[in-house]
Amino acid sequence: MQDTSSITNFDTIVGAGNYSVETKLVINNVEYGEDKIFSVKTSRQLFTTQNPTIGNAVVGRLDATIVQPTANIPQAAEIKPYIRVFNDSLVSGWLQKGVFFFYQRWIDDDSDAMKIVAFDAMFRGNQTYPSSKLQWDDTHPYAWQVVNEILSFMDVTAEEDTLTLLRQSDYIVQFPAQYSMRDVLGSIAAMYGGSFMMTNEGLMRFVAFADLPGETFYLVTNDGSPITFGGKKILVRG
Amino acid sequence: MSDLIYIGKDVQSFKKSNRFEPYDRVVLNLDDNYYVSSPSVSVTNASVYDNYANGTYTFTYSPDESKWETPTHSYVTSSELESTYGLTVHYSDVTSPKSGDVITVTKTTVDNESKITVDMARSGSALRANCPLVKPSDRQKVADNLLKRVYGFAYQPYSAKGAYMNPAAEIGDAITAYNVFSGLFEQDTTFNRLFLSDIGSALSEEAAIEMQYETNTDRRYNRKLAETAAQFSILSDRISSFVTNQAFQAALEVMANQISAKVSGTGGDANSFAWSLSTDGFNLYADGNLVFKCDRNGITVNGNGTFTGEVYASNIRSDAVSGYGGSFSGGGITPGSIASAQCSEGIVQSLGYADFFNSAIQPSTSTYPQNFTAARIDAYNAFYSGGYKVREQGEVVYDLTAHYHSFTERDGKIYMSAPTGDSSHANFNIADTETYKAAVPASRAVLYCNATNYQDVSSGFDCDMTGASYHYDVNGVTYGRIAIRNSSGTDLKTIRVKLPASGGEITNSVTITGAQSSSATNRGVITATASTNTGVTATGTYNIYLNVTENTSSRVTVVVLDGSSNQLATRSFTPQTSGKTVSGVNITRAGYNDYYWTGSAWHIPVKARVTYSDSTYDDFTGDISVQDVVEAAQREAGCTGHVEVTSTSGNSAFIKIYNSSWSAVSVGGSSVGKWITAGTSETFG
Repeated sequence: MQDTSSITNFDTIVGAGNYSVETKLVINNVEYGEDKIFSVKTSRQLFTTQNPTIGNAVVGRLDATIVQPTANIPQAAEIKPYIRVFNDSLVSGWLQKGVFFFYQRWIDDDSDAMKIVAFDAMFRGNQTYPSSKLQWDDTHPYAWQVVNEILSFMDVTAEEDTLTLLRQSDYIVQFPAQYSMRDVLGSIAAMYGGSFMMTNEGLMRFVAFADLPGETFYLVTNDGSPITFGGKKILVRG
Repeated sequence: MSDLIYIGKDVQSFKKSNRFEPYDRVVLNLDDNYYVSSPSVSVTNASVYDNYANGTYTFTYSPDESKWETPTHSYVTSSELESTYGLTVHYSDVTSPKSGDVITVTKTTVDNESKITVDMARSGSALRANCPLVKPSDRQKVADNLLKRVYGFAYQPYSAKGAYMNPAAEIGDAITAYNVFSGLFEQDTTFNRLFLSDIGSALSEEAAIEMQYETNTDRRYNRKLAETAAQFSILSDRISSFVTNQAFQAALEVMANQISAKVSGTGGDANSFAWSLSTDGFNLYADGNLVFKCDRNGITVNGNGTFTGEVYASNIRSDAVSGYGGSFSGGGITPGSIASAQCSEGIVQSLGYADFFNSAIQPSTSTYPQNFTAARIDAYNAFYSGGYKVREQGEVVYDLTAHYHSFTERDGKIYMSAPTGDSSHANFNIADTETYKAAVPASRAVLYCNATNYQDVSSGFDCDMTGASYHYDVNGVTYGRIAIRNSSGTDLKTIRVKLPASGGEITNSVTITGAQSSSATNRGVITATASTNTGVTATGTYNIYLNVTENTSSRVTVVVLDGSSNQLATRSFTPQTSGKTVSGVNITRAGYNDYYWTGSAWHIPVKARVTYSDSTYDDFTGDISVQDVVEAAQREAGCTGHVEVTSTSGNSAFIKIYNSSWSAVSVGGSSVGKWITAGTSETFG
């Protein structure tokens, strides 16, 4: 769950229910409000097949249709969707819902609108592993060292928790000849029992298959925040 | 070692002499098209060697066809098992596959091709991933670590299209859709006013529970229905629930700092009851009034309280009863009577008094509570009024060391009644020898000892008043004292003796002079003398008189009188000389040398001579009671008590002195009584 505690009114409005969502896109640092947006859709699949899998490096995808912008949009420009919630009396701050990069754009002949296909930074991993500066032998490198090098190649930052987790094991990785960086990331993710993905904030995150947040049975509000009495959560037993 | 072993269809059992560990998974291929993914495993003839079990492993399988899958794995034959894995394979018939009874072996494997397999516990499926870059030497470590991470994890497949969920949800979050708890592994989000997502955790073979989405219309409709009977709402800072019907209304409010509930009658019965729980206390209300409160300071009850068990309290405040104008019912303890800070073991300190009459110790005069048979009251302070009665074996301890004045000045009394038929517990001890002395001279203190069944004189009564003044006054009359001692010389009892006006203690008690006729008169004299240690001697003279009340020729009667004309004795006899006129009668001898026993008392013979007109005479003998004579002498001497002649010998009599209650008086310290010879005097005391 994204941390929304610092976003004005967000939890209050969602908790009260009966809210609506407003969307905007920020393309190359230029905002496009709903008056210029026809549709926006994002998609993330942690599994690559119809069965649960591990060892993936998930690429998030954004599909959008907008009014043709007047501003110039460079190649592989950054596009970030934002949402905010509102009801009859309150409007929240904006919540970022991903960081994507233009992959393809075209003008629809019928609507004269711009259609956009964009992927997040994981897409950059679809390149053959570049020339490595790591030492590769029977005892080198560790998996987390390889991930760090891939992050630098992809110009991506990972969440600190992910880096901490990777450092907890000293798996040795064989030299990834002819493998893409995503392949390498996927292979390493399999060793740890999960997959890599990009967060809504644009950071790389390792998602463990079996590390779901525990079911707490706490009494929560509509938005999932625990209700407390004097700071104590309420445990509900069925 | 974690082997993934595939066995051909013709192999139903094998004997493994190599390593075989928990969580190893064995897939039994029954034929070329099917395999059972979760065979049950039983081990027979197993022995443990070097931490590994050697034995015959028999596999059965579930015939549930829904669990069958098209094989996607290669398998080995028994001969390959033997040659490749060093397994010794034996054949046995599995003729009756068992339904159910399936042991699912959860396992992680990194095989020779660096393929990672995580076998699922619930679905019978598996996660599989290629991991070409893991070093062969790390395969086991990876498999072991993975097993630790995923073992026991239950994967729950589901899908929910158009889910209306928190816009901040993201991949990896846990989600509960009705009773299904799972993870958010897929998320396709459409950015519109509702911000709906298609979410799920995939599994192709099982249908998932869909998360329902209600339209606004649906929600309004449902809410309206709910308000008819009950309303339940959860807000960020409050949970409230209301239930109503024709009979009552009930409400439960859970707020950030308080929980409260209330039930009210809505008809003719308008009673209500409510409670509230807050951060600082718990309250109960009845009809709007606080009836019970519990907080950090304790509890407050407005109203009556009934405790069926015992009540313990370290302190009962002095104002806890009187401050509220209440009382302990039954009158046992009146308000303010227990005012001290402690009542832990009885009344150890009291500024007031404890009135237990008709209450705790003696609730009624007819029924004594059996559990107070060993009651004890320690009263270390003064008693200003009232008294104590302790029944049965109760003990009253007075410490009068420094407070005797308050006792005597208040005319305090101590009553002690020995239980009927039980004298052994009627013990009354004044332990402090310094206190009783001061208790007496105020002259109004009276000690009553009503020991009706008093038996053990020597140990049961020990009241020594010799240290007190030599005399005391009762109603303006001065009395002396006679100490009664036992044969050991121990004073047993003292009696008061009225003294001559000058007072003093009688030390030389009584001197009796035997009456005898010294002249031919009708009068004799007995003298009794009492002297005191103050030098006062009182002598009483006891005169006896003879009167002839009958004087005929055939019968003469002589009456013996004392000085107060009390008739002491009478004697009638026939004159030896008949027909003569009596001219006089004289006592010739009385109380001398010849006491005699008449069958009921000792008597003094009185010899008299009747003289007739012709000078002839008759001598005769009458008698008077020695007892009467001596007591008469005592009365004359102003003494109380009695004297008894218990035996005679010749002209001597053994005299015993008794007090006014007829208790024998010790004489001389070694015997009770004393011989006295007629015509002499003896000193008693």
